[in-house]
Amino acid sequence: MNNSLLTQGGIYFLLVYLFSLILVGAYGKYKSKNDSMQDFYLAGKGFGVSVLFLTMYATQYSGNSLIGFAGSAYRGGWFFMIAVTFMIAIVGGYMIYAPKLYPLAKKHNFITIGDYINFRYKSNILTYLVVGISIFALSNYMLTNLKAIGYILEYVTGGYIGFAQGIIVMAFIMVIYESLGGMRSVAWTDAIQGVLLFLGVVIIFIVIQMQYGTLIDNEVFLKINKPEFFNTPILSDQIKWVSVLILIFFGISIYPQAIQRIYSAKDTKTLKRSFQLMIVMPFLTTLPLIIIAIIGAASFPELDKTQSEQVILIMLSKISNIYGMQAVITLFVAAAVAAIMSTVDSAMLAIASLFTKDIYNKKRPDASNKELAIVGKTFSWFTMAIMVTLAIYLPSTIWWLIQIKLEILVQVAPAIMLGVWFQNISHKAILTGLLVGVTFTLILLLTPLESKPFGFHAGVIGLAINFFIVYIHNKLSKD
Amino acid sequence: MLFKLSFFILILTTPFMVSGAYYSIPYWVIISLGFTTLYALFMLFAIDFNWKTQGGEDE
Repeated sequence: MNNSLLTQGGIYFLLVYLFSLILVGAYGKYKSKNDSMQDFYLAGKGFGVSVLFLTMYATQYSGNSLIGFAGSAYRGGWFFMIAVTFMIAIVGGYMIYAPKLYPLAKKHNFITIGDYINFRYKSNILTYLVVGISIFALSNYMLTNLKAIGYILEYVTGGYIGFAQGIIVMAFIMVIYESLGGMRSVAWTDAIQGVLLFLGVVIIFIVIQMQYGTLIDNEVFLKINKPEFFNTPILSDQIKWVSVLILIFFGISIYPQAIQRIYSAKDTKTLKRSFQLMIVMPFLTTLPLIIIAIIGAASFPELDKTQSEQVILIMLSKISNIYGMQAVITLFVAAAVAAIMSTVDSAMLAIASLFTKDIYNKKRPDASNKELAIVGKTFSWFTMAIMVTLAIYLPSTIWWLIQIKLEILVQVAPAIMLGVWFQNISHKAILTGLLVGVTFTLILLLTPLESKPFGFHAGVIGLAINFFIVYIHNKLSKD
Repeated sequence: MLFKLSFFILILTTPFMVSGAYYSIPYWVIISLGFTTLYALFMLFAIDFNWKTQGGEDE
């Protein structure tokens, strides 16, 4: 406990907050209307602006946003300002398909991404492939976030809560409230977590400005300690910028949990307002985090890669003797934990719904609502157990594998984005494009070939080939 | 139209090859952040006015 960043009061606050989430989950169960999958996985499609926006916000801003973004900005300097642009561009990605997909989802009672693929293309192979890729991407997302929560809890409690203990306790809490109330519980806890995340970022930004000075105050230190931050961008930087934007625009915008949230909107107006609020949030969340990290680089220029991920905690811990700072540190930890939990629970719910609806229900179309509910909840517990085990025991030598999730998931984009716009595109064209895109991406990533040809990500090259194959296949089959 | 134009603005957020800085903020950051803000504004309006042309239905 001697090295703990949190006081005993802080740890108690965190525990009370965590267990209160289970109460919210129980309230979600109490408010559930029936045993249907619609009610469990989409909360009866009744979310208004406040809950829908907050669950979208909390889900999109994972632990990576709070910890990873700051670390990346510390190491990469101003270039990481791309995070502000790409967080807005994700909404641009939604705008390609959501206006058309939402009424379809409402009319045909879609629950998962697989429902749309099956409805649009009437191909089991394509549906299973899309569902498989989605589960792979979501599992990776869960793994990285579970590992992050273990590290944070171990670090801030000075080892009082161990890495494995932290992961197991958090996993239990999440799976309990998810099993109780499904999407309703997840979204309500997301709403609390979203508020906590936002308040945490705003308060920490103000505190850092007051204690470490503004960017202008730190100009001299930055020029001495981090002169590379002032380098003029070169062509490779520009290519990297465009490549990252393409990857995020087409990749993150089709995350299955994001699509489920689009389905669960009460009406069009709710969806539009939620998207608009999401456009504003990068300026109020991502940008302040980048500025904090750059000020951190001026004040603590010698941090290595691992330490740079904790730059905000290091900055706060150095001023912890100031009155009230313990509360700010507790708030930061709570915000980081909230950001991670809101992402993991949403990914877990999406995985359970994909398995139950698109795999189990397809094999057993006569299954009752009760049976499907039991299967979904059992699968959630099973998935969480596997993920917790992997997060604790997976050797770091194969962690690179999880980095490729987005490059694979992005290959699903044509199936959704072209599918809603062009009714003449066949499942064969989409399936061929998807298979060739994934194969090409994997060849670039897994063989000694250049993994970033001309500076573009393998997934972006794969996506370009994927779109091209769909176009050619469609043109040839028309002729 | 607004939505289509927003793609063009999104590309313009790419860092310009300009040197120099205003205090501790490089000029290219200011330009890029400016275009990002413009992109955000276009998207805000596009969501309201282009929803139907994007295939959406009225609320």
